[in-house]
Amino acid sequence: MKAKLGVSLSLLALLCVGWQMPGVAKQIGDTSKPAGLDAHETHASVSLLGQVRTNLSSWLWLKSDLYLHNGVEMRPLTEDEKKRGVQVQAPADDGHEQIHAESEVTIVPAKESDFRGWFGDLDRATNAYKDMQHHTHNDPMAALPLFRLMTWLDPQFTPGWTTGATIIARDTSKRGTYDALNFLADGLRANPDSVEVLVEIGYLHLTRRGDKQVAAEYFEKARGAGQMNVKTLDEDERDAFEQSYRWLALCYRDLDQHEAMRGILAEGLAAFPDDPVLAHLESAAPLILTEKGQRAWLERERKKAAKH
Amino acid sequence: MKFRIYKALARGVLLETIRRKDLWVVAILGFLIMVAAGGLGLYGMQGLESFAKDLAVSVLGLFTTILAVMNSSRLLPEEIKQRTLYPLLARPISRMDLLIGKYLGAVLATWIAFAILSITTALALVIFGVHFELIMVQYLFAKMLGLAVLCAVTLSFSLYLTPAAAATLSFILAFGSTMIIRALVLANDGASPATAWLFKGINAFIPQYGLFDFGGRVANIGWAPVPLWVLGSLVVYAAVYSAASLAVAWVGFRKKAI
Repeated sequence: MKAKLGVSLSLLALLCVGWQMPGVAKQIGDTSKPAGLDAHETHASVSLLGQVRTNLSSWLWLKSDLYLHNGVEMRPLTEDEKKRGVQVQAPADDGHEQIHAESEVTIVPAKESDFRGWFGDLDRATNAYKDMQHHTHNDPMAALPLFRLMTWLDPQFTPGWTTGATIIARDTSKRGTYDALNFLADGLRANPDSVEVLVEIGYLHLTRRGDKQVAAEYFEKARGAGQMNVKTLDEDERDAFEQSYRWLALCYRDLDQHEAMRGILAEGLAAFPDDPVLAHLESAAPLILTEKGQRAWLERERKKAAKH
Repeated sequence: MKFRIYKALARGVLLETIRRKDLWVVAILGFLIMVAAGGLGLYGMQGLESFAKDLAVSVLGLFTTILAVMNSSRLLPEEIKQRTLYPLLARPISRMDLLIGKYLGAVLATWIAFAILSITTALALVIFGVHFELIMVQYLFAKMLGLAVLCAVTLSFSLYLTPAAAATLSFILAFGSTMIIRALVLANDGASPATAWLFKGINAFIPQYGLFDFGGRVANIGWAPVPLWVLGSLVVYAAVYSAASLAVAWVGFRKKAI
């Protein structure tokens, strides 16, 4: 028994020492993000604890969506349903913005599309089911504690930070903006290279505080972070990287820094040649034209950009 | 007269459950729930009521399902394996009586475990100031019906399969039947008439455990209590399905060479 304990402790000690060896530490503690893999999952792969945290935060993410619909589970239309032209009723107007895609239906089927008869009736009566006409959403604010919990459990889960901040910022008062920026500041401390978090901070400074200068600083940081990790950005981060160019160009335009704006547009279009907003900003209508002429000119340019 | 036989047999199952310390496991799990809830409480419960209730019903559903299946799947095979069935059958007890008595014992043990876990989770929820609604009482009632069906189905499987296989199949149905039914509903659209009839048959045959779980309504806010006709229908369905499962079990048990 003692021998077994000794061997176990020796192996554990060896593992601890080995863990710290430069070659091993580099592999297990590598924070860079391989291309095509989600940064979040990559982080989780380094340890079992990370995996548990990731699973928990992902589970909470799904739960937050479920609570938003008051327990009514939704699903997107299948390809077959789309081909057959299945119609989706719009949800009831509950004063909130359209939250989910129009092509979503409830997982528990409506009576008219359910072959189960009596069983179907019982299913609708016992499960959290509402037909789409009576489908409303809870105030997203109610899900906020879940976002705090998921980011506390897994600080590298950037969608938790950005979506949580969006929910806090639904309160358009100064206090709401302040709280949202504080929340994002915590997110930035945990994810200093996150393009998404940086863009979200810049966006709030621009749209809520009207501080173009500070906003531009954050968009610049986002641009820098995007360039630094351009090969390893996931889809969401890449999208935020593209947005950083758009917002930066707009900020420089409004700050009368036209040279900087042109530089950003050229760089942005080189990275995202199909971006219609950047293309549109690059070819702003000449001021010599009348308002009507400017609109026609912009329309032509938009069509051109769309063609490309 | 029969009632006394059933009572004695059920009591035996219950004592065996206590002897095997299954109920101790439940009590420890309950304690762990309280500890975990305490951890969540430290974080602050404001706004997390739905989450806490959701967690509570998920834990209740998961643990009681495991207990019901594990308990029911080994009842008769162990009696046969350990040859303790002979002294039982030497008494004026028919195999049918034995089956019913064992089934009632399994249901009783499962319900007691469910009650222990329910009380623990309810205490945890009360501590955090979660409001109770009428639908929660309905949830407990429906869940008990569902557990009774689960015990009958598992007991039936255990007479045709090994205890491990019976437990596995029961778990697949307990956790997957809702998913299978949702898949049938999706696949039914655009299916040929023959396939549609096949789907109807599978839907009628498969145990509909999802109907007994009001967890989705309990966890969220403002859901009205389930109408009485629904509760009545569930009682009828549970009685019919359990009776059918026990009948299938009896056919297997009657032919079983012991």
